[in-house]
Amino acid sequence: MSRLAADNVRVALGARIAVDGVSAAIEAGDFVGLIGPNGAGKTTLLRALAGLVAPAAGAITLDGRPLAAIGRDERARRIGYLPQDGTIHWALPVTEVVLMGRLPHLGAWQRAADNDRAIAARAMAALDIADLAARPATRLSGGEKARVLLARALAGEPQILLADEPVAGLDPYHRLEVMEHLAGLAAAGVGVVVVLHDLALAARFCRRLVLLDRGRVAAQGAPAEVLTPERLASVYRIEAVRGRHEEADYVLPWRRVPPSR
Amino acid sequence: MHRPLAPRPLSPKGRGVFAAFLLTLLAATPSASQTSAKPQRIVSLNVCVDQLLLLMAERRRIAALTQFSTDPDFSNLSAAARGLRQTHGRAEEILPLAPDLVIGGEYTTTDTLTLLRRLGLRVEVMKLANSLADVRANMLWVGRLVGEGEKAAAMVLAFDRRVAAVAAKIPPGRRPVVAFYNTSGYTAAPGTLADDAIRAAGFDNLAAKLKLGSDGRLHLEWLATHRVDALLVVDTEGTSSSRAVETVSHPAIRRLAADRPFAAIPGRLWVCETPFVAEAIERLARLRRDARMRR
Amino acid sequence: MSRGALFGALGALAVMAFAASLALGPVHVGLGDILAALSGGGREEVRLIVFEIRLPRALLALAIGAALGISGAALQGYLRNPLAEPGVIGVSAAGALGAVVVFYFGLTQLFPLALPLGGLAGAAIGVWLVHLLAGRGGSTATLILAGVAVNALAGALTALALSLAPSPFATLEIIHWMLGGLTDRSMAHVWLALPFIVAGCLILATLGRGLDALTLGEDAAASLGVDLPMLRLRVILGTALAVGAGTAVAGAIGFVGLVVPHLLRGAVRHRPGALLVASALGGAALTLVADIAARLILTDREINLGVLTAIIGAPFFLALVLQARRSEP
Repeated sequence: MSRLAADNVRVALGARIAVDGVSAAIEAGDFVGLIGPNGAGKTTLLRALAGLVAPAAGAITLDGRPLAAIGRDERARRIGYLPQDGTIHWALPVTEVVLMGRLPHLGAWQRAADNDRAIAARAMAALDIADLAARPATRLSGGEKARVLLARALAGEPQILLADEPVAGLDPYHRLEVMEHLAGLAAAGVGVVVVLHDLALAARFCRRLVLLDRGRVAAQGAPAEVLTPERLASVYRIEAVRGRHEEADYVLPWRRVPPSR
Repeated sequence: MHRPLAPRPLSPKGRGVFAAFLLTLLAATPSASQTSAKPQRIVSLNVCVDQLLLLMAERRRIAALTQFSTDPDFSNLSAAARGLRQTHGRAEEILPLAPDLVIGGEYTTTDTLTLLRRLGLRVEVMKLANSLADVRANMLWVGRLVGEGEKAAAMVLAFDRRVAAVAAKIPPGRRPVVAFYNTSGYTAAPGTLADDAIRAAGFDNLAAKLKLGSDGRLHLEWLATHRVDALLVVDTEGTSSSRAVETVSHPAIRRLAADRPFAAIPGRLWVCETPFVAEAIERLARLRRDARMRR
Repeated sequence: MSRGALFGALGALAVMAFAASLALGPVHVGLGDILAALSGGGREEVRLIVFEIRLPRALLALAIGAALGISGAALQGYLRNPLAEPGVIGVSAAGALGAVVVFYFGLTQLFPLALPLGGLAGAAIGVWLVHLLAGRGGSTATLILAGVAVNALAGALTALALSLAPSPFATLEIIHWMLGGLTDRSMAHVWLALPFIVAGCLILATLGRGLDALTLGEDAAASLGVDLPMLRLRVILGTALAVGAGTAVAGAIGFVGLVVPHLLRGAVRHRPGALLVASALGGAALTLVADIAARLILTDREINLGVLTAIIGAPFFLALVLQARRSEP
């Protein structure tokens, strides 16, 4: 059982403190939504969890061991990271892009073997992009690219997956598609953290939410506990409509609220 | 390298000279013909003219030479030039000297010469010497300009005697072939002074045999395959020939130099139209004699 | 085409170009004579031509071409920009300045190999400056700007040295050298430059995985286990060694690092890692062929190699820029 935890973490970006005193954890099988207004520090926290930026105070631990003490390769094998605004710089065939997810599992001069290709093929099949295998990566639509990059992350078979706004810029069909895949991953035992702006999606799919406001944790827990009307007003400055459909609760942002102070 | 005298900013005395000069300009009528009086304040803008002036004119009549006049790499009379004023060829330095004759070369900056002419100075330009005939002609030309025609004629006579002495000792029959190789293949191209000097010494010039143009260069490979009886390079350190072999860096040249007569000649001897060209021809003649003996 | 087949074909091309470089030259030497010389016999003058004149040139063209090719591919992969070139980070200009400084103080007459050593020293200082400016965590944009700054500084100091040159002959030598070429290079130059070039190329050849991962951006590459600061260090160091030593010996030879990766990118299916070795082989072949042309086009002199690569490369570069603009939205 893997457990990636942030313990009273502070992260500075230059002179500005982006994240302060944040404690949160993700375990295998968890599906956590990391939400908050613009500039709340979500991406910074996610990058710190991925080991891309070192905290100025506090610690990030994987199974109790500090992340910095874990070898680069082991970390890459166990934690998968999907950056915001994923870019693919060269016109590689889609298969090659997905195969890159296997890099942490390859030895120093080893090249991708049949086993790796099979895993990549499975990831592509799961995301329904098998027919794009030979397409140059620069000629993909937004939805296709998002799925290709997700397949790359899946091909690495991580124990923890950190995804930064994986549905940004996607149409409703592909948004739901990606969230369903991620939920399926969590159900299969991967710990998934997703940064989201779409409160409706977050409330509907995530089992737990972590709400960040100006670098600090404003609330953690089940969506119903976190997304109270008071919190929505104070953190997001909005009112929402709530309801129930097909045995699931939904939250729908409805109106802006002027600041009460 | 000897530090050239830096032109000083105009002192009160300098300013006085300059003012006097301007008044002279305003008062004098431009004279087209050469006056009978010898020029008293001559400025040279060319290192070849430097040397001719030192040989022909009295020191007190030389107002300034170039900054290369005391550089032994360029001037054969570098010691004699010490003590005389030097300029870097700029109009600002030349004007305060109030020269009555400025002599430049074909490659002296055109802008400078034009400016000096516009300011009313008498500017003469010596043509490039491409042959021994040009050497004689230019020596006489400078002699006429500075009013030492007799001295110049005597110099030419002495030059001719030395060249004739070499020519007399050239045996009949096939002439040995010399290759003159400078970095990047630069050589004594046909139609240049160096080519003429090589022939006057009794050699055939490889560059001429290969029918190179006047700006042609030698390929190193040609030296290996064509018949080359003697090898000539540029002596860059003013040292004797034996030390100069080590300064030649390419192994192919060193190998060729090892089994045929080899000499290094300082460029200053035959770049300018001075009597020192005769010395270059005499040295080449010595090389030719070695080459003949080897065959 | 599989990777192995491609490398085999390019390697064969390079070998053929090398052989042609030994066989062709301003003097016609028959194939039989050359083979005799290579096996230890043959006429003295053929041995002289083959071993002292043509062999050093062929070796240098091979090594420098490989260095330019692989460093071009490495820089394009690292900067994620198909218009990147070894000249971009200022190594070539700094190496050129080092050599020019040696000219200026007349050290070449003291000690003929002072020139290549000066170039190496210049390249090393250029590397140090770029690292100082761009820092260990700086972005790609910072690295490019650092390269622009080093280029500007080296160019200004070179122009200063040229304008203060002690004699017209020094100026002429400097200009000739700056135009780039392999005229009259000897085995001494080969022994001096080759170790550094080989070391640099080997360092760059280890970058394959990191450059592949960089296709997905710096964050994704880091998350895949790539050590980004170490990658940057190896890019800079490898390029400095490979290109610095080459520039020191042969002057400024440009555009090979731009043209070769561009031509071969399709053949390696756009994978930056595979492009490294392919560009080394392709760069070697191209430079060898260009050097043969430099010797044979005109009968009574050589064309500077750098001039030839520039005449072919600059229009190519222009076409690339136009193409890039057209594909912009």
